[in-house]
Amino acid sequence: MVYDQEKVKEELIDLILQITELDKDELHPDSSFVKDLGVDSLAALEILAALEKRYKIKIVEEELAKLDTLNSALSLVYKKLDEKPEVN
Amino acid sequence: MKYNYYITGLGILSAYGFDHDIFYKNILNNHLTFKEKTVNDEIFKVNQLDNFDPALILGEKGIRLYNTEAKLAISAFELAINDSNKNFSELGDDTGIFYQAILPVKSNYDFNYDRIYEGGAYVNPAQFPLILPNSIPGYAAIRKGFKGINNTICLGEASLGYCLESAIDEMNNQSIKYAFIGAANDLCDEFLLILSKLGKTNNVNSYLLSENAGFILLEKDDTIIKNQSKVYCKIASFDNGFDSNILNGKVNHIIIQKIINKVLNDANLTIDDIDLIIPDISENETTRKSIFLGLKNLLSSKESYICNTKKFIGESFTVSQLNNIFVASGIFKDKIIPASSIINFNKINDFNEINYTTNSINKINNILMITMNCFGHINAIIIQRPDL
Amino acid sequence: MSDENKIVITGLGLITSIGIGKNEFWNNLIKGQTNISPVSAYDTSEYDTHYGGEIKNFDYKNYIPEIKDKSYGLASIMGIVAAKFALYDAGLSYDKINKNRIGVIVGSTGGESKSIEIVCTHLAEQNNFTKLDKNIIKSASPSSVSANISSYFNFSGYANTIGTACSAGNYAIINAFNRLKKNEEDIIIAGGVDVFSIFAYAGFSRLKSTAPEKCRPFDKNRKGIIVAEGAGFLILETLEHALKRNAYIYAEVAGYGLTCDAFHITGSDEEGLGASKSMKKCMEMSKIKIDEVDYISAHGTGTQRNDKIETLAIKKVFGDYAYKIPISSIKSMLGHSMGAASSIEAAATCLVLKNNIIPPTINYEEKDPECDLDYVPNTMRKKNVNIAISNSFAFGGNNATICLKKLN
Repeated sequence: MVYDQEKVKEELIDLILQITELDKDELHPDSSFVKDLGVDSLAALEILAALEKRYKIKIVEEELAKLDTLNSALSLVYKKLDEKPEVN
Repeated sequence: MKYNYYITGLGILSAYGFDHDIFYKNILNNHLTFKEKTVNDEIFKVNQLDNFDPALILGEKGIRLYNTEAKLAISAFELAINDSNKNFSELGDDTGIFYQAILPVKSNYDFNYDRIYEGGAYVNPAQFPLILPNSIPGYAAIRKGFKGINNTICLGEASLGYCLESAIDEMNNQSIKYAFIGAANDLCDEFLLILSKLGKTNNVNSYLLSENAGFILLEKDDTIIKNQSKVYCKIASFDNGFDSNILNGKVNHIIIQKIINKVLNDANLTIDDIDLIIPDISENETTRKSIFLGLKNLLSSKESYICNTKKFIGESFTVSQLNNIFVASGIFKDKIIPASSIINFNKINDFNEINYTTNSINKINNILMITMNCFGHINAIIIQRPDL
Repeated sequence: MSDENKIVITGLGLITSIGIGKNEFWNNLIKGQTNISPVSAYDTSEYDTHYGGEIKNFDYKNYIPEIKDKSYGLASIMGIVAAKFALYDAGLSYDKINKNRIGVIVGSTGGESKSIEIVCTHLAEQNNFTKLDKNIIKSASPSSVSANISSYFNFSGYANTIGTACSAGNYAIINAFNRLKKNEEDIIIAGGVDVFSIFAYAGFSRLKSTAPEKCRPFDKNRKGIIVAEGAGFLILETLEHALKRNAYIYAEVAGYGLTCDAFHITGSDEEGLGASKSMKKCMEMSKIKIDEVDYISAHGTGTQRNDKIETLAIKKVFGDYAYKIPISSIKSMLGHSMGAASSIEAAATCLVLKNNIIPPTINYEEKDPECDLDYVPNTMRKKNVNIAISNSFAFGGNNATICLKKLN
């Protein structure tokens, strides 16, 4: 699927900041949400659910671990969007 | 009762104010304006806490998942903790929370709406816990680290007595020393439409609705700190029961009378010792008349003061009994009873026939409160002036 | 404390996916029978999993044909039937008991979940209630469940609806215990009921907590819960009252423990502090030592988290003796019947005490090093059981443990 990478990155950051209530400067791209940033497991599931809803993608439980940092979350979303067929 | 129990903290979220003295003074001085609110062409008379910002009490962070009811309830909870003048950061293991619940309408509606229109594959899992009535006390416990016992009673406006019962059982068992008991009433559109469909708003002008929340702190006399704790009133006795006639729409005074006699006996009082009665004067004819007849049979021609708190607070469902306690606490102090009348039950047929005004009273030691919900769950509570 | 003041269980009423009534339930339980199957009442294609513990063979008209279902929600109907079974099992004829000295205490997660779903869906689709019968709206209130059961029998004693989610059944039993200790009632019908809820199904599915086909408590590859439904009601009375009428006594409710995790809205605290304290308080009140416990009925939902933490908590309480206690989770067979679960488990534990047979934890294939206790895998076990405890750990951190003792 065609998409704007920068726009997706901005949306993802907004979404994560909204759910985790972190300040923008706390969100280091490679910090673990759970281990470093004190994000709880329910918030992590909320992020997963919000991404699925926003981009109409499916993330299975085994991939939840890949959502643990901003950068890895971004890679996962890009990958899922790349795999999505074009919708007319 | 085994020990002496006192109410030593009040958290009030009301259009009359968030501090007990202000709340009571405003009740004596003001008439609350109930505004008209239209939902789907239906009119309701409500007062909502329009200018209430929960972030002022709860802080900006950590409340994102709270729905309106949670924000109201947990704000009142925080106010009660502050009001108690006790440092609860050390008392978490000994403290329990007892919540009075009705169906969490808004959460269920919103969760289901998303399930239908966004699709079950996309509902937000973090919204799921709030469809359960015990999530709000759960969130409250998490905020404060209260690891005593939590309980949630789902009997709507009759829940207070059952929460009291559970709290006192656990205090008698030495499991906890402090109990916070509370409720919140969220007037969401969906709930208003439900009330209308159930025929409760037939007379819009007399069916006034209040958005409201409250929490009380209950403790035994041996944990009260002299000169530090505020002691609002004593719980002299209480009883809970059920009348199976009510669901069938049958007015019945026998069970109510039995329960009132029990609370009098348990408090070592007679009906003559009761200085004021705060009955649940609701729009439900069956329950209102049952309470009326029960009192009539007990009092006969003896005159008694009645206070109709719904006249100035409106209907606040699960918070009603707590509002009655808030008002009663003010009456104990100032000996002025808002929306009241001295009545002879033999001379009238219903609470609705009375003209309620403000009255002064010379002696106010014992107040009897009685509630019955539309399903037949009942509680009676006798509260006493604390310095008795 | 005199013996007469002991609180005992004298009747059981069960509606479950493996049996309607105590006998069918027990016979299937010890065989390791499960009827967990693809959900038929709803289209679950949009969810991650599709299996549930629905009760597919219960027609209330076989038991209470006179009920017009518009006035009662399904949870009330199941509650009435289960209460009827329990009263019959206890040898109590409800037209002969003192109707003012009997209580009905109901624990439930959703209350009338089906009615709530109908009300919410109707409003979402129609934007008003014009075409919806108001009795359905009235029945959606959780208060109605205890009221309907009590009113069906014309009982005017005490009625309560407790909403502490997955531990509500135990809370109901505890409420009954306390009232009987105070001589408030002669008999109390206490238990839990929950009907299959698509809201719960959606919620647990989105929490990634549902298993695809099997509930596999304590197994290394366990994947979560199976959402289910059921009703379990028990008759409680004082020993004195039971002896006077020559009632069969299943067990004494010796005591209980209640705690709150105050940790997280959906998950237990990682060190099992709330859970272990719940068991400790229960055993203190029941005046039993750790080596007197012959069986533990686990909360055992089948999630990675619960089973690991419950195991940890059991070890914290029992130390090395934990390895000697048989533990089973009957949720492996029934799935998770929410508010009914702990009351069904209490009833099952009564039958364990009566028959000296422990039901298995089925679907157990591979050992998890973090769950290394004896979970009675796959096959029932004959063992003399005199004292048992039963756990329930709910959302909101509501933990409840009860202790059941065989009376001599």
